[in-house]
Amino acid sequence: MAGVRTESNIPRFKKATADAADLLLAKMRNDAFVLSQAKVPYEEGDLKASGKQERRKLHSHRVSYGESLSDPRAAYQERGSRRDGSHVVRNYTTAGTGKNFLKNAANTVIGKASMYAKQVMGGVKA
Amino acid sequence: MSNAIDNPIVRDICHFLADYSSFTMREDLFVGEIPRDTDGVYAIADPSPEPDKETGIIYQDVSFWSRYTNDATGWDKLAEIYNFFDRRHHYATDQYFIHFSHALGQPEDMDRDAQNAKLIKLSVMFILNRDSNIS
Repeated sequence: MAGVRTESNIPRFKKATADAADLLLAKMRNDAFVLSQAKVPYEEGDLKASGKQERRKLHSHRVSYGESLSDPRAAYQERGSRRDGSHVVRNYTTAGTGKNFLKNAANTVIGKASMYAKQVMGGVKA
Repeated sequence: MSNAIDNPIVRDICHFLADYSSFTMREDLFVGEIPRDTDGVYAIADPSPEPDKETGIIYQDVSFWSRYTNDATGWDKLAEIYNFFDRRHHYATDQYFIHFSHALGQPEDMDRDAQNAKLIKLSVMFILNRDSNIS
């Protein structure tokens, strides 16, 4: 009697899914960056120019501001106050810009996670 | 890694769009990040799948962000881009041959910018090769 041989595609499917998830996160990171750039407080442009996005490793993506600045006020601008709440930023130089520029951008993108999943996961093949 | 402001594929695609539609480069169609106070559509390279190893076919996702103080204009501009690129096939830009392009969804409301202008995004995938069609 002839034997029966099966070949599992599960490892290949797992890799394709992991790669697609990474692409999904990269797209979300990119859009969060674009949105935050449209909202970042702007005086001479240093904080805006300091924004960067990076892929650190698989499934680990990051958007950051202020790391390249000698004046470490990016977190202060983002929070809109000192960490202990002792001083609140009342006026941002450019009308419309303000605190939570990065948090709000990220929340907008996270709220659309299913849209990104539809864009990317549909292309996964075993 | 910063934004790919000057991605040659995106630049080529925008020139093609400007040649055959109502858009004008650097007037209401731009390549790169969204600036302050200027209405228009901004094409930004998206993270994209890797090229095909055997054929070299490139898969390039491009996001068209409209930034208009008049909301309706923003939606109309992206509808025009949707109709222009969705399911369009076999066309050549200056440096690339595009086999097929299709929208990756409908235009999406992406909140407002610092000047309260409406931001809307449309993502399109372009499947292309450099220079020539595949025989």
